[in-house]
Amino acid sequence: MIISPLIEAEAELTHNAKLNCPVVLSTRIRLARNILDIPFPDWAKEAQRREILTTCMESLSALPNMKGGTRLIVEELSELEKQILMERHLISRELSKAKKGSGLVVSKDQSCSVMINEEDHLRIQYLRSGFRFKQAWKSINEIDSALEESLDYAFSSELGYLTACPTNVGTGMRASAMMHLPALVIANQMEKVIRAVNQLGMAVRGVFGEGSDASGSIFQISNQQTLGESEDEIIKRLINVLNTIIEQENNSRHKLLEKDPIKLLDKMGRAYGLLKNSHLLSSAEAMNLLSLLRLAIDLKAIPEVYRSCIDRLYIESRPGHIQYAAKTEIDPNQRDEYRSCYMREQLSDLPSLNFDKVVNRT
Amino acid sequence: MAKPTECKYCEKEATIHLTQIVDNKIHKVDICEDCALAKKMTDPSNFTLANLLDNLEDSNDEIVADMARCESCGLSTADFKSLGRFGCAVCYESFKDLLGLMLREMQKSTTHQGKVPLVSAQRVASRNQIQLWEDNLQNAINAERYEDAAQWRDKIMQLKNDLKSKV
Ligand SMILES: [Zn+2]
Ligand SMILES: [Zn+2]
Repeated sequence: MIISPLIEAEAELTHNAKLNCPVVLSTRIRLARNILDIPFPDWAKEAQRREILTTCMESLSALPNMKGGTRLIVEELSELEKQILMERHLISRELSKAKKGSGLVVSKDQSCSVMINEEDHLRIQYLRSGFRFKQAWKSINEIDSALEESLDYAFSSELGYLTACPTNVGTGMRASAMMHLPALVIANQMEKVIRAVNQLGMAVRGVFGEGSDASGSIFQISNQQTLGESEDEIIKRLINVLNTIIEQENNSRHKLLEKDPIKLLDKMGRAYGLLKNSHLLSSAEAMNLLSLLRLAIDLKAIPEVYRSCIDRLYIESRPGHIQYAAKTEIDPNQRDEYRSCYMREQLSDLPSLNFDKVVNRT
Repeated sequence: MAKPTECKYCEKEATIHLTQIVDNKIHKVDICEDCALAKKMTDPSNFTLANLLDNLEDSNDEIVADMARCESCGLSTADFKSLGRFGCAVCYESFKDLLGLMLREMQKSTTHQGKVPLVSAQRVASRNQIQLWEDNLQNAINAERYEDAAQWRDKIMQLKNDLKSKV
């Protein structure tokens, strides 16, 4: 498999979970950029797409950040490889289905990935674990400025960076955070939160599944507007909204612990039991159980050192990753069996839940 | 039993109910899963656009009708409405009226406030400048104004060297 080194390497997403970062799993910024005088990828001819691919690959390879990175041509990848890359958020569904002449460049630590000929000629993405927008913006801004040394961007002083879709014009920036919001989900508050956040011009999306009952209680919150505000202003506004959501989630956790602590402890205890003892686990169920263990870490019922393992399992329990780990073609049923086996193995040294500190809090 | 909500685009049962509030305007759409995927509505930013394009279809036929094609890439208004995307950077000029409507609906304002690609913009401006001076040079030569021509030639050389030294 071409992408094996990517899966087996220690990546920002899977191996670098920030300690003591309870609600925000990761921070991501992406910039949409296009090259002057060549039609946008969807409307371009194959030869033009190839020209873009070659030029951009060259410019990207010259960047210091991309030293030792991976360069991939989408049409050379198998369906499984594309699925795994999607599960790691390195490519979008759109890129996996793109016409010929699309590519991907990923930095060695997988914090930076650039899709070529997706919706726009360039989709530069930067990921940081935890809640770290300042760092993420500084890094992606440097990469973008370095690229501009050799690439002529399509830019207008009035409208900013010109993108295939006018929803991205201006800064071309989408800043987002992955948030783990189990208490708001348990308390049935997510719908209300989504409405309020939308009203502030931010979008909410379930990361695994749609709507307010996304499995794993993981949501991506991002800015909707890209024109009329600077990058700093957009990020500042987003951070304010995220801080409010963190506060809501924490309040909700306190309330659950005050009102009916036994119910919450029972949920976490059952998750622990199932992950360590079941023999069939669907992807959605695994997400929901892992979410409860992550909550147990936040509440100090599980030592903090297990956080990065749980965050990694969120990714590794997705169907493509399980198929890859099994090393042989398996059907969905066998996949559920393999997944449960993998969980038992990975969590074998997880100590029993210790609720002393949880009960003291109430 | 209550009748299940029908999809906005086809006859199937709507299982996805989207509500978005942008600038105090409520957008509500009931759709089936197939249409949501087809229209890429699972991405909130695209949802706003698809919704807007539908509204345009209902209310702004006269504005939409008098726009032809982008002379640079050949994209038509109909193409734009079915793709939800422009064909090239020049489309932003070619579909200016339609664009203005959309930007006012979905963006904070219609003027860019953020980063400017200084290096790349400078380079593009210099290249356009050279193009202009080369025309002047040709005109001077044609009119047998050789002193002028020599001056244009020097200026062009100078700017070309500046451009090269930056790469
Ligand atoms: Zn439908
Ligand atoms: Zn065009």
